[in-house]
Order: sequence, then structure tokens, then C-alpha cells
Amino acid sequence: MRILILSGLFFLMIGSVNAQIPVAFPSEYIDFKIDSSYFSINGIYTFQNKTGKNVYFNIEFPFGVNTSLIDSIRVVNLKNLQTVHFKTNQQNISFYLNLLPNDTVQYNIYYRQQLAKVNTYILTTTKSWGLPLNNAVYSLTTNKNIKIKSISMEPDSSKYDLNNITYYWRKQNFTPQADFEVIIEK
Amino acid sequence: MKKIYLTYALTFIGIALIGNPILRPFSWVDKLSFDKNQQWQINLNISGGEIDSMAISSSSGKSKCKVLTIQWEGDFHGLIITTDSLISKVNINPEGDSVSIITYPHYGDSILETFIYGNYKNSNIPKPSKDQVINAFWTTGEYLYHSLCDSTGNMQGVIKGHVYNRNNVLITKGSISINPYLIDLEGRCGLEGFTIQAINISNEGSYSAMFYAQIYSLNQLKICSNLNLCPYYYSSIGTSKITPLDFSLYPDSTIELDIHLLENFTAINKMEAKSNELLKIFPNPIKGGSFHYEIGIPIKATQCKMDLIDMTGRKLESYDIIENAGELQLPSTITNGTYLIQLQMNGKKLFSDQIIVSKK
Repeated sequence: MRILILSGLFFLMIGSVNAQIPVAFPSEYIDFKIDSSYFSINGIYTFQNKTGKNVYFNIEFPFGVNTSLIDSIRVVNLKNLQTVHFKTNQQNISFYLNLLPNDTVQYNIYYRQQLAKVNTYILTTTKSWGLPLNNAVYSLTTNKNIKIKSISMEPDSSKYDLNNITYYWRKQNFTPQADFEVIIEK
Repeated sequence: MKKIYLTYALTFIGIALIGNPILRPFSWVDKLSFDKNQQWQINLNISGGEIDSMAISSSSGKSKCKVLTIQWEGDFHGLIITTDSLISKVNINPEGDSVSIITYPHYGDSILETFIYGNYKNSNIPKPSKDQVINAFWTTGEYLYHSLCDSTGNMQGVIKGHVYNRNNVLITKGSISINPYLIDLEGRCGLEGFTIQAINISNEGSYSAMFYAQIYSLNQLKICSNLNLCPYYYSSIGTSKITPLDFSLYPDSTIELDIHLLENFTAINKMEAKSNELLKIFPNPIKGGSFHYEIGIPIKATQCKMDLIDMTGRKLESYDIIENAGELQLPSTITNGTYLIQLQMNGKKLFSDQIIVSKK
């Protein structure tokens, strides 16, 4: 028994550092769009400094494909309308942020990639922030000519116009358990 | 290599995978030093996401840290690692070695940082002498490198003085209200490439800045546009040559030096232009009863409004925006003049653009 307790304590000590992460990722608003050629993402992401000190951190936006296959990447800080300089890595882009004490900033990030049969936006990595999203709103607009086979999340509502269908998801206190996946007939 | 195969495999079978932001740890070796007994010590700076463990490797082997306790409180967290911090002993050769710090984040791939010094193969850092350490330096060119500096390398002094424009007029906060940095012509903060420090310019035109104790020869003042970015990851929007500043700064000392600009900061105007990527109004001037718009931010997942405001601040019209592009009617009573189009998202003002109404 003593050995078991000691082993447990040892693994707790060398295990994951249960850190109080100084920054939060409380909300995101994303317009997904699928047209005949592209799967595009236009999102607003909020980052919040929870401390009374300056916080520096590194944000990575993962692409499951080589970054060369992603085009039209735009990152804008909505607080000062500055285009953000990002580093292009093999399968992600990353940039550093310096948040002033207790500050909140919003970033607009737009990019698109060639349409595939299975189009996935990874939501489950939200866990890396340690807390659920307070607010998450997603929309998916597709042309009526595009045949959608399945969407991984049941939409809360939808809207039709002459050429497009738009699906909406509105989530609160949201810890994604699955990724956002749209399978189309190709 | 596996990743590259996976990438092409995913593309080939028709899967597009992209995703939400991941908070990544951000760590680097701030200093490598040796004591009298040739025992090494690494000072690490860490910030960002959760870390499971860290390891040190050298030509003698590799070992993980025994216990890693990091309490995030903001700013950077300093961590000192010696061979006693490791599960098994790792020697670092003071004459020359290849030293790697491996960070294992809780999410994502491990992060490797390597530097080679002294007589080791492919070394790009000389062997530190008795009074020297290997120190981290950031350049304005957005990257980190390691080089030698004396043992006071992490100690700072203060320079202060006044800033004058090229007409020898004192610059006040109204003239420069964004991050300026003093650098040399190669984009480094000092001849030997040392740390960049923001300078705060007060209303009275005086400035003060903390600099590491070194010999400096600086000849440019650079303005950075983004207060929310790290100094080494900013967008530079203007640079002016200055009358060269040559000085030696000693630890805990204060010296007074005035900065005289030799050029104007014409590039500041570029800041305004950036909003055009997110909001386009055309034609402008508007000669008819309507105008077209294009908005770059997500519209469907947010509640967006566009307000038409006159120059006294009175709201003339409020449009609900449901598409990223479209045409909007001006109020029939509008008179010729200059107006503001203000974009709101989720009840918060985002930005505005000026329009001119010039109906016949």
C-alpha cells in the first residue's frame, strides 16, 4: 500500500504541470464557407489577460495540411487594426502576443484551402486553454449546388436564400468534445 | 518525416483539417554560465501554455528534469536548471558543446532549441572566457540568437533625455504615441546586438529607457505600430535616422542623452490604411443615393451594424449587416458633406471610415 501511495505521489510530481494559465480564450465567432472550390474560415478570436501583469504568449493555428496549401491568410488585431506578422511553419502559423495587464484583444483570422471531401475544423484543441469557451458562435454557408453528406454538429438553426444555405450554432460554456466536420459529396 | 507523409496522405484522400488556436509554451535559454568548478547553469525564460516536462541534452547525453513546478503569474517565468535538477547527470563541456533544451508541451509537439558554441563542430558562438556567459539576444528582425557577453550582461542601466525632431523642436507624446526603439543600422539594439527596450516619451518630450550594460552605437529610432505584440514580433511602421549615440552603459548607472531625429516619420500614415482591408466603401465620394460595402470580418456568426454618423456625432442611420458585401441606401434627407461609417460588432464599436456625399 505504501509503495502504491509513494508511486502515486511520484507520478503526480513528475506529471503534467497543473499550471494556472495566465491567458484565457473566452470566445470565438467563426463564419465557415464552402463554395465550389474552397473551404474558408473567417473567425474572430478573443484573448484575455487574467493577470495584473504583462503576459507574453505564443499562439499556434494548426493546419492539418502543409501551410503551402493554405492561401489568403490574414491576421488582424482588431484593437488597433494592425495586420499581425505571423510565422509560417510547416503545418501551422504562429505569432506572439503581448497582452497588457487585464487586457482583452480580438483577432480576426481569415484563410482558405482547397475544398476536400472531408472538411474538418479542429475544435477539440480548445482544451489547451484549460477552460470552456464562454461564447462560441459558428455559421456555415454553402452554395445550394453543393451536396452536404453530413455535418458533425447538429445546427441550432438554418436560413435559406436564393443561392445559399446558412447553418448556425450558438454555444455557451462550450468545451468541444468533437471537431467540426463537413463531409460533402464530390 | 512522418508528418510530411501524413500531410500528403490527408490531401490525397481528400481531407481538409484546420483548427482552433492552441496556446503553446514559449521558452528559451536566457543564459548559460559555468561556475569556478566548471558546473553549468541554464537560466530559462518560460511563458504560455502547459508544459509536461523539459529535458536538457548535450554531447554527453540527455535527461529530463526531476520536477517541474511553474506557477504562472504573468510575464515570463524564470527557471534555473543545473545538473542536479535532472533525473540523470548531463555534462556540458565548457570548451564547446551542442546544448539542446527540449520542452514537452501538454498539447502539441515538443519544442527543441539548440545552440552550439566553442570548439564543437558547426559552432557559431565562441568559447566563453572566464568572465563571460552565453546570453540570449533578440533582434528587431524577430529572431532570437545566442552570443557571448560579460557577466554583467543581464544587468541594466538607464538612459534618459529629450527627443527633438529634424527641425530641432521637442517631440511630445502627441507626436509619437506608439512604441519607439533605439537601434543600430542593422536592426540591432546596440553594436553587439543586444536587447531591445521600449522608450516611453512623456508629454514634456522627455524619454527614459532601460538598457543592458554594454557599449552601444545607435543611429536609428524605430517606431513599432502594435502595442499588443512582443517587441521582437512587431510591425515596424517608421524609422528615422538619428544623430549617432555612442555610449557605454554600466550596471545601475544613469546617463543623459538627447535624441535628435534626422528624418520625419512619414510611414505613420500607413496605420490608417490597414482598416481598408476590413471595410471598403465605394464609390467614395458617393454621387448617387446609395453606396456599396465590403466587410472582411465574420458577419453571420456575429451581430453587425453599420452606423452613418455626421461630423457632429449624430447618428443618421443604422443598418443591420447580414452579408459581407452589399448595397445600402443613404437617407433621402442627407445633404452633401463628410460623414463617418462606423462598424459595430456584437454591440462594440470596431472601426470607422470616412465617406463624402457629393450628390448633384
